Amino acid sequence: MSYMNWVIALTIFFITYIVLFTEKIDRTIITLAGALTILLSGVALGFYTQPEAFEAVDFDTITLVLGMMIMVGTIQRTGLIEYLSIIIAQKSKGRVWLLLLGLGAFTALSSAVLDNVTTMVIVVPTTLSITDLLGLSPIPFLVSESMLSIVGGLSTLIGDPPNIIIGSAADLSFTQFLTHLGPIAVIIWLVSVLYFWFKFNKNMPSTVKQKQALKEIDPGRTVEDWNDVKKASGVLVAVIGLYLIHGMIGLQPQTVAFIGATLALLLIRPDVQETLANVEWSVLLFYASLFVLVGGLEQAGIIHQIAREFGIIAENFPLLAPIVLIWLAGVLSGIIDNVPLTIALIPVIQGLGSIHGIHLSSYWWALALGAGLGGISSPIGSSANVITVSLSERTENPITFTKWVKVGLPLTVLNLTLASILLFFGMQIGYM
Amino acid sequence: MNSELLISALIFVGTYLAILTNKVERSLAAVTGAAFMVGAGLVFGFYNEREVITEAIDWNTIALLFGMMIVVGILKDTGLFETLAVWAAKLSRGDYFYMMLLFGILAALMSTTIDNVTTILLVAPISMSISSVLGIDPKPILLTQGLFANIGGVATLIGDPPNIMISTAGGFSYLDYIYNLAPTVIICTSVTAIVFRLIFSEKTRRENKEMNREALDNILESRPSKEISDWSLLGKSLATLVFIIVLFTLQSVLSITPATVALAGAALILMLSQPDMSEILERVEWRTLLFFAGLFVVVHGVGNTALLTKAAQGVLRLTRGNLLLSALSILFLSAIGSGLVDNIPLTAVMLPIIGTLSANLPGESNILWWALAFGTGFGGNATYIGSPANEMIVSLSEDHHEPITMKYWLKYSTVITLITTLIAGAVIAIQIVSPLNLPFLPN
Repeated sequence: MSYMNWVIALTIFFITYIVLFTEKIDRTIITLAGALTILLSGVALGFYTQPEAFEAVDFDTITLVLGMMIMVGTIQRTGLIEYLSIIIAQKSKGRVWLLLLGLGAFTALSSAVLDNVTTMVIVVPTTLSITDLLGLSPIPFLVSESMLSIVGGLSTLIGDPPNIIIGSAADLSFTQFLTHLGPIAVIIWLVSVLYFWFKFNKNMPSTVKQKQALKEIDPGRTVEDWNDVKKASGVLVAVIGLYLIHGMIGLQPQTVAFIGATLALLLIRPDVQETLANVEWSVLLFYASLFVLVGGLEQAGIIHQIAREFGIIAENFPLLAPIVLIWLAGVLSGIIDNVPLTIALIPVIQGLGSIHGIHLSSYWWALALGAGLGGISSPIGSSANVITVSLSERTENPITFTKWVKVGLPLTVLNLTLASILLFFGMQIGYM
Repeated sequence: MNSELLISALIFVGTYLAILTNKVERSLAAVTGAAFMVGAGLVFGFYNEREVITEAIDWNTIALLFGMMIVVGILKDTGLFETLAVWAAKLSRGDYFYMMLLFGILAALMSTTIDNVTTILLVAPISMSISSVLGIDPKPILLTQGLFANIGGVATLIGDPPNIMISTAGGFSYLDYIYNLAPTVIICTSVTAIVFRLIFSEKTRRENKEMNREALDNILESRPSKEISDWSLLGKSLATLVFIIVLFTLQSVLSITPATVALAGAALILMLSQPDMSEILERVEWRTLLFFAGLFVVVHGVGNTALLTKAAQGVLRLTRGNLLLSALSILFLSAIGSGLVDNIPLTAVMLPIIGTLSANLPGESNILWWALAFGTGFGGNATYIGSPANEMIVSLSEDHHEPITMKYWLKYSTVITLITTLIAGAVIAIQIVSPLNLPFLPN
């Protein structure tokens, strides 16, 4: 009786996602429990088997994330990123606007290559110490950096988790992401910076008195060994180079990530045991469990049904459908984490292709844009925001939910509109 | 011999030597070997990146270990292991050899119903805790548990993964296993116990003398339940254990794999106790998981299946037509093989060969299947690489200042493996040679 399967699978799925939304239970634990419940009931009722659950896990994504974690973790400890961020801050010579712009640009660039959380973990403390020194309110800096890290992450395959997952599902290369989403990210970045200028202009001085103090910060204060910094930059350059050509030479992205991880481990020689202990295994377990959970929905036939219904709409309104997807993903990813969202939407999009024969590329870009940009709107919308807010709570002037939403929500609407227009034109000229 | 085969064999041997000599950390040796194997495979075209994940690594084993490590990691907080340790000390009245035997028999009994690795993960912490309290050497106790768990697992359909595979291929029931295998397993366990009594008599005397008598007297007087530190967590953990054991028992009926059982158990205990996830994951022995993943990648690279198939077919062609010779060669071949590689791929290779052989031999004998069950089960004891349970023992012993080395392991395991395999061989030979169909012997 297939309706019975549907009801059970949907109930497990929604309970899991609702608990994810309420954050009452650790997200890895609830997702693992959801995955195992759907698997066991699937085995009992015959709609889901263990080999199918195993196949549902996208190991390309998991291994890519693992490889990047090892590499980034090693590079992070050399102090390279912090060094660069302080150099950038000093270049502003105490002009507040240049400081905001410089740090914003640096965050965006850094999070295009590293993950957003790592970027924010490094940039926020640096920013706090600089604003403290200069007697400025840290809030405009932190909020803009976190939001710009999301915009920066949007531009590459490895910049944020939804992109990694989409890239693996749709078999898109690093260069394809860079050439399609890169230009859009740059435009959105420029508009966001203008937006911040209007928003924060009134409350900030144009220049500060403590120029000398800024100049005297030692950018290498966290660096233990300059050789390691050089090696770390070398590894980063090599990995970016490999990513740019990986599609041409036939290497998979996760292989590039592991080459980077191996190079970093071999050259910088950190303690392997410690490096592995610092890998966020619970994130990997969370992803794997999500894949198994959504795989259960797929095997129960639900995703197929949804894709069939949506496909009819999508066929009738081929230009409108991707735009709707941007907004759907955008609104939802402000409410729940964008990884579970992306993992649930991917099989629906794949269904559009396999059932209705729709050309999918514009849908993938729409999903990446919506899932990424939607996270800006609230402090819980993306992991980068969560980190930023929790780090700001140690200061006298913590960022509150309302303060965030006042800046974030209008910007998200602006960004999603912009993304929709750009995607629309991209589709018109046949590029997206 | 072509170059790919030569290179992959060299890497295989090199990795095993590195593990055996204990010069480098085991997981590092396995992963380095794996990297070389995949690298060589990419150059010579016998390995591709995707195979590593999809075919080489046996995720069933990895996920089983991972799930049970989480369950045990939480169980450690309840004080249950300490309580059981006090119990064990009381039962053995503080005699070193009785302690060894007690834990060995417990492991053997448990492994007839639940997975061997799970058994070890539940029993070994108890013996570690009692050893540290009494100041005695945990190595012989741990060793006994590992060997007994593997021997005991042979007795039942669900005790061992190869047995499950054999039951599917040969169409045997739970009772078939008890009738055909359990009596021989009981003999093997008893003989092993006697041999250990002899080997460790000097050790027992020494350990009994050096034992911390004051701590022992304290233990003998104390109430075991005093050790429980968190009663509510204990209730939740026991509920999870019952859930796991029920699933393990129903495993073949429900057709769920041990990995699913362990992960479901982990999910249940995590939901019930809601611990800090990152702290729990830190307790997982990632090095052991890495070791297995690396080893699987290396073994897959030698084209182990192709090599094993050739070897098995060659030997069995020589013995064709003779039931006794066929049965004994299956027994020893699988015993040697499962000392070197994981016994699951080994069984997978042997099953079709035995299927054809059984069909071509006179009479309706199932004895070849039982020979395979004995061989894969007992052979895994020879090295700790051959069985995840034994590997777990070694990895747990690393918490002690004097961990179990390969040399130490081989010193005792080879004797026991040889004896148990020979007993199985004798039993099989007696049954085949005797004109009557003897009861309680494999047939």
